[in-house]
Amino acid sequence: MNRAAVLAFVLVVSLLAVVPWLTTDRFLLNLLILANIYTIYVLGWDFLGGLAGHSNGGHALSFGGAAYLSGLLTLAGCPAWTIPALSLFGITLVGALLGWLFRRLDGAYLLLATLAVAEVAHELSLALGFTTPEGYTIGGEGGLPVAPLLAREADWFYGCLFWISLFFLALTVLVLYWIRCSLPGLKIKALAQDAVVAQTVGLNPDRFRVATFAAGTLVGGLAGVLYAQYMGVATPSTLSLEFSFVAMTVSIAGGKGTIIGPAVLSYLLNVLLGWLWVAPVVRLLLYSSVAILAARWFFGRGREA
Amino acid sequence: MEPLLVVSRLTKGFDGVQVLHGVSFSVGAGEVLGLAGPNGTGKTTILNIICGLVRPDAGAVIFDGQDLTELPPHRIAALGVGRTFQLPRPLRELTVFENVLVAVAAGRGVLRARDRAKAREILARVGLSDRELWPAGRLSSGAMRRLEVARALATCPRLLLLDEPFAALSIKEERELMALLKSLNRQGLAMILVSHSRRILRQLAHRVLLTTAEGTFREGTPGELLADGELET
Amino acid sequence: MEQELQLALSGLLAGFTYALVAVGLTLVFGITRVVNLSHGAFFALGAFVTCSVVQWGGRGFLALPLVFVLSLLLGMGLERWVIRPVRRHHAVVAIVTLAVAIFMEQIFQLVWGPDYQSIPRELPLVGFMGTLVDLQQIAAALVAVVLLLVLFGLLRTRIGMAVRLVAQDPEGAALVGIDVPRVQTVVFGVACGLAAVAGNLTAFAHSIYPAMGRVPLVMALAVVIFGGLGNVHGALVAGLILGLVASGVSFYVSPEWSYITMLLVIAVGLLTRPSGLLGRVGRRD
Repeated sequence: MNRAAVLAFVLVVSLLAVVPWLTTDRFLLNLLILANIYTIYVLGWDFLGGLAGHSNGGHALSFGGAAYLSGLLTLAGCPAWTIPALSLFGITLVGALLGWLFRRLDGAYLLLATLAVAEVAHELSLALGFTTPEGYTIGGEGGLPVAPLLAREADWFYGCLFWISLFFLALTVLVLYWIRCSLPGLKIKALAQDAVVAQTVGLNPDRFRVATFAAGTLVGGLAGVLYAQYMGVATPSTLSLEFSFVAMTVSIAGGKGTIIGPAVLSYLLNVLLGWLWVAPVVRLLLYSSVAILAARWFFGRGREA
Repeated sequence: MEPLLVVSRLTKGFDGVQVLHGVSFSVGAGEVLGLAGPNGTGKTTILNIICGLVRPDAGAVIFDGQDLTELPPHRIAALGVGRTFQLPRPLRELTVFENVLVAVAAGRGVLRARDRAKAREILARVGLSDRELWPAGRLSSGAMRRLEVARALATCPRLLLLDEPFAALSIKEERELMALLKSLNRQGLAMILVSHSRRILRQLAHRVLLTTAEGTFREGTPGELLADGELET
Repeated sequence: MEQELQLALSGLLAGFTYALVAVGLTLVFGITRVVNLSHGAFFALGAFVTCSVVQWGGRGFLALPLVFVLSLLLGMGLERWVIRPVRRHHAVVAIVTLAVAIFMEQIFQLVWGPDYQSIPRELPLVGFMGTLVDLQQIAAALVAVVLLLVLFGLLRTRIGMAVRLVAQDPEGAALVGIDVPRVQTVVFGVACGLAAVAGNLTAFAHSIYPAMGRVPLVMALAVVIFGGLGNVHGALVAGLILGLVASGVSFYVSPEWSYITMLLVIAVGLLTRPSGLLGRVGRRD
């Protein structure tokens, strides 16, 4: 456990927490809220793909899936206060199921299988939709509306959501980092490095596979639920391949499995790219270049991964 | 007394090549069985089947009255079978200490102070205390072999499967490892030892199972097989 | 019945060009054990370059050699400088090729714009025995078949045997003096070239847009997994079968469901085939 890193992290979070008192600039708050949410999202991949070594090619499913569950529950008329928890629970179950289903797969095959499942969800979100008698489109490109717990029109909406998302970000980082430094984290790392050896000393690979998938999906889903609450809508882009790709890239470039590294990188990238109003095309060019370079740097010949 | 391990009529083929043709043998508690023979005659496969990494086409493995044949490797490890590999496979990015600790605490959810002490003690037994905090990938190959043994010991095995543990060791390292294994055996640990060296087998093994390229096998004491010229140095 | 026949014919013909893409992907997997997720982007590159050539007044099929050479060189460079350094890490290669695909999609968008484009057909639809026959589709299929025959023919030559040896036993191939890295680079480039050629051949048939490579990629992956990873003849048969399935679903339900079906083939295929293939792969890796 790197005490210095944890302390520095707590300090930064405390400083950030002061921001809504200093300014009500919506642009800035929006930037920071999204940075919080997207960083939680990336941490989900860093835990599952980085620490546990299970390359999830469809991490967007945990984010968009949770958002869409919120939307579907809204459509079904569920009381608003139950929706976040139910969505989170539902998507975590899906994650555990996928972890169990694909437990014999590894490496690029696992990546491909999970990518395929997420793409199916993405296509369904685009393809399924209907028009109400009043002429509203539900589903398809426009997505699904989500019943908010906090009134979006209120002045304090942005401040509140900033604190809530910041709180969950801090919680996520601390919990995941703690797991990483604990005995379960050691076992997860052992299984990630050499599953055969790990089994011969008594570690159950299937159980850990399901657990880490559930955990990674839970974290990604947390970000998705927060997003749905913030935006008030679940859109197909939350399930897209590009979105899955961004999680992988930031995790790898930040030092996969370290939790703190990807968190910092994700935050900086989101704030910077948002502040500069960088277009999606340029963002993706940047991310894809970073992915190629980071892969070369961390996994290139002559370097042990 | 019932033997600790009974292996009966193990048969295994890979990609159309038959490697094991119905091997049977047993190992008593506290006994050391040597496994010798030319390369490719299935010695490592036998070990892989016993510890559960490979499923046999036919045959059974009974350990202390329990049928291991269908069990997954982690359950077999928990029942008391430890394993080292022919080419050492340390968990490279973990420290030497963590390599052993994860095996000690494999069955638990939370670390206890006892676990750390036990890991330390095991590392002291194999002579790696001074390198506890090294990343395991940094060890010399001799030290890696000792780490393999340490990791296998951490699961409190009653049967230790050793796949050529003496290969590529210096004379001094070989002597140290031999002393360690002998002492462990004196304390009651049974072993199956794969080795090509008659010197090693003569010192350590009570009996030897000799595999042949045709798939037959012979069993006897090291002295018997040596006298017949079966064992090479 | 006529409609079904026409559909079947169309599906079969499309299958030949898909087979071109799938066979390339299979070859790459067999030689380098790489799951190349940028394969579809090369298909798109072929279509885009063809589009430009046509817009500058050239003929579509004249663009074919240009498209092939361009993609061959690009693919070879990709294998040499982007993929080879990380080849030992299975998942990282997939991520890196995905990065390349996304990078290329952004380039397409910057250079050609995000809108849907199309080019006119050069050969007409003719009536024949009461059904409509698409001459251009037949021509495309013929070219694909010729290329496939040339490819299979090459595999029987000494060069081809060297390639096959690298696929089965790279260490052994190196021992016999075959320049294994060179073979891998060239095969990768050829596969990319074939994908681009498929893009050129079918450019007339659908819209051209930056992300158009995803459907062919998914189709090719489905074919490769269904036909057996690394099995070139299997890829051919699977290409034709899945081409028919894709056409059918596309027509009777919708193109989106055709895409979804192929994705499910991938997921289910990986579920049911891992141990045998992974086992064999694992032992080599």
